[in-house]
Amino acid sequence: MSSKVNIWFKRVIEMENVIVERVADFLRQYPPFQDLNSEDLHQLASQVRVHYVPRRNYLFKEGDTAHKEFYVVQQGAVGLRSKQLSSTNWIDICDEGDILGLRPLFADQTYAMEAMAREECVLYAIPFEVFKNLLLNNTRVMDFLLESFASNTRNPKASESKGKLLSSNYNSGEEPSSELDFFQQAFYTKNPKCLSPDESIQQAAFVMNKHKISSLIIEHNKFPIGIVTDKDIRRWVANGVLSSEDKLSTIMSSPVKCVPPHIHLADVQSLLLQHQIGHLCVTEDGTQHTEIVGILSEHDIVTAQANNPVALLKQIERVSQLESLIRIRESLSSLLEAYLNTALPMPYVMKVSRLITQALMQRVIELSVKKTGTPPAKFAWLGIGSQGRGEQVLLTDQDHALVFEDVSDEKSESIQSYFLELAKEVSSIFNELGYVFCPAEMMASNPEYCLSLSQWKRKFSNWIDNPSSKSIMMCNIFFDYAKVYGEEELSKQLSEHIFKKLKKNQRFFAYLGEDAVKNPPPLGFFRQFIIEDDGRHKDEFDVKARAIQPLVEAARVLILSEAVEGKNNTVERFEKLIELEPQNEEIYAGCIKSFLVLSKFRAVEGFKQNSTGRYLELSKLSKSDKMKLKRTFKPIKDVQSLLKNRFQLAYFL
Amino acid sequence: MMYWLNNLFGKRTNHPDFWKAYQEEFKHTNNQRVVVLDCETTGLTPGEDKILSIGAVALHQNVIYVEDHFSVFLKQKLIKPESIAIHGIVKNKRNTLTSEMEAIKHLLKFLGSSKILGHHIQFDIQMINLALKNMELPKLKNKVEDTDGLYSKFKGVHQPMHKSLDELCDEFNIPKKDRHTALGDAFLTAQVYQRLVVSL
Repeated sequence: MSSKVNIWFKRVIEMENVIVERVADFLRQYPPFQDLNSEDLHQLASQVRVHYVPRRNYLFKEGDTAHKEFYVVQQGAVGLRSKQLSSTNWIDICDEGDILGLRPLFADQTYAMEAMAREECVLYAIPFEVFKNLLLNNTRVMDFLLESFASNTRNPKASESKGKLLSSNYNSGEEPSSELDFFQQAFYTKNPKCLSPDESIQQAAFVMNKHKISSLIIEHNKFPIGIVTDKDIRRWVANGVLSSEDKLSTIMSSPVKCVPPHIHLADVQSLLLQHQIGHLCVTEDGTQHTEIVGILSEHDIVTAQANNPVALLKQIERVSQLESLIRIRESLSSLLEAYLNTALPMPYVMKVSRLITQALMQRVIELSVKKTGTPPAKFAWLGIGSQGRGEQVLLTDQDHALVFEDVSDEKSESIQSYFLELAKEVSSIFNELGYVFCPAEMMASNPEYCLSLSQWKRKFSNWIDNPSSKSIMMCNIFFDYAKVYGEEELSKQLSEHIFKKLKKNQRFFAYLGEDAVKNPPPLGFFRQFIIEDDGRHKDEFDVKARAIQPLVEAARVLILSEAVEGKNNTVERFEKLIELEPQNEEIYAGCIKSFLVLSKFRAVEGFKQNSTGRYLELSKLSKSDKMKLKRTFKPIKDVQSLLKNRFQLAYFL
Repeated sequence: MMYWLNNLFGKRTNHPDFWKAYQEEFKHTNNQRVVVLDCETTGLTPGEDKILSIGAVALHQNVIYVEDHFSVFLKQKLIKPESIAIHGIVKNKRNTLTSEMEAIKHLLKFLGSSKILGHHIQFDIQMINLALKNMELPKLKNKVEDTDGLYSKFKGVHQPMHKSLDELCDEFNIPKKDRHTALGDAFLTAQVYQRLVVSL
């Protein structure tokens, strides 16, 4: 084509459509549009729809069917928030050049967040259909979107927010809301293949083969009653116990775990992790008593996100080398660090950390048992302190204990020595992974904390019956134990014993309460900093002892005095307390918020300094971070006065 | 006279097909589409001045669809030099120019039965109707609305405010680009309309 014709052609476009020209001029300033050639950009711009959204109006709401277009903010600012995560806080603010609503490009879904105009907005809407065609020929654009879509720990841009504590992570225009996709809903396969329980295994194999699927839901009157996966078929048929003529009801897993259609990706991940399953059945209301809507497989999620908690968990199951375990622990750290650098809410970060840490520890113990030899008695490995509460984000000291079943006296010594040996092995691996040995030796490798069930019961009885200010300080973390590995029954029996002992034991609670208020909140924070006078941490604020610990301790004493079993986590404890004492909702809700904010401060600081994050350098905090920190102290004060009243602590202090 | 009689007796046989198609559209009007239109002319005297170009863009439920636009530049017999200065439209761009008849024919197709909206739109309508008359065709059948009128309503004033498009753009914080091109003005007017509609 001659250049003359080219020039003419270009001029016609310019003459004929100044609108397209304006739109293109705007788009080409921002990624990923800046990577498009002029022709593609004009093609795209010519299909744009211009929306005007007045202040406080919604672009879409939670649960709305996904639009056929996504949006680029041309003028104004759009706030995104999710009622389920937080009713008040904006999760993200998109302003000029930011992209939002990209999710439907990857999966037909409903929106899991609401988008509201914080100021009056002009939005350029780009139909997905138009955009998809461009994507095929523009790998860089595709890469950009995929990168933004996947919650990628290796996003180089995520590290830019390092050094800012809790500062709002608004999009810079360079990265669209990648972290948000975590809250977007999980996409499931609609109209899954179903069979009745009376069909044969052969029929199931035929259907699965024909449709190239790995699972079938077993239904009765459209309600799910079980699930059969190719794994089930392989296992059962290969065993030769059953033949392919047998009914599916003999091999199906039942009941099948169900979820409602509008479920967040993050929740799906947790469920799969928790139940160690690969499939979830989607039903109308999330129970087995409504019609089947779809099926959600682990594969769906893993493919959506390459580097993610589920993948890490899978790896944990498979590895046996110390080096691999160390690598996984490092991946967890970088995953968590990346999460912290985004606007991902703290409860989710902590949950991921909890589940993966737990799986990792289970694996370490499993491998150590293999190495040490068959255990001579049943036992349970208990995580205590922050491990027991599931609140670890950073690598901390290891705190654990071991309980084994009661055995005859003559065997007791040899059995204890087996478990001490096992504990030493586990403990040394933990140490290699970065969990340093507990300086106070609160570890299962210490004969004091590697005991039979009866010995443990006696120990707890002694702590409870003969409390002293000193013993409480030492023993209180044992009240936050959680079984990490082994026999559930042992830890259950120990709990039963403890709660029986605690019942109406005013004196013990008085001591526990006293311990919980020993660190008053630093309310004079700004006039005179309460900072550590010990030489090494001069001019630093001990966020753990002065702010997090008081909340942890308050939650513990309150939940124990309410005789609630099985609630170990500080946030869960306060949530339960709100349920039990609605009159104190405001105080407890404040405590949850403070706890999360403080945990984030600590975690961010910890990753930044490669430390336990315990000491915050006040001079390096921004004004807004100082304000945030200060606001967390009020609920601490409130809950401490509540403790003082409830446990009549006045005379203790 | 002949024309009036034909209309009276419903005889439209002497109207060209494109007009019949246009009339047909009004049997089932589409309320969701609004066409924002602007004409650039050689001057402000209907009957004497001529249309230089017509630009229009459509709104669907108050969303501007860039692809749904219309733009023509008309062949001129005479051009007043002063209007060239403003609009920058020069006579001899043969490749891009359309005859008035062709332009109107395409415009009717684009308009369909949609409501026409514009800033001080009566002038534009008058210019187009004059062109239709030259073609021995009746006047436009579309509903017409004026942003100036809407603006008065928006302000709660009962008389027309006679604000210029420039003033409205300033008030609504719309960046003024491509003023004095028909399509550019139509786009700006459409944006003004978006803001007026949500407030009314």
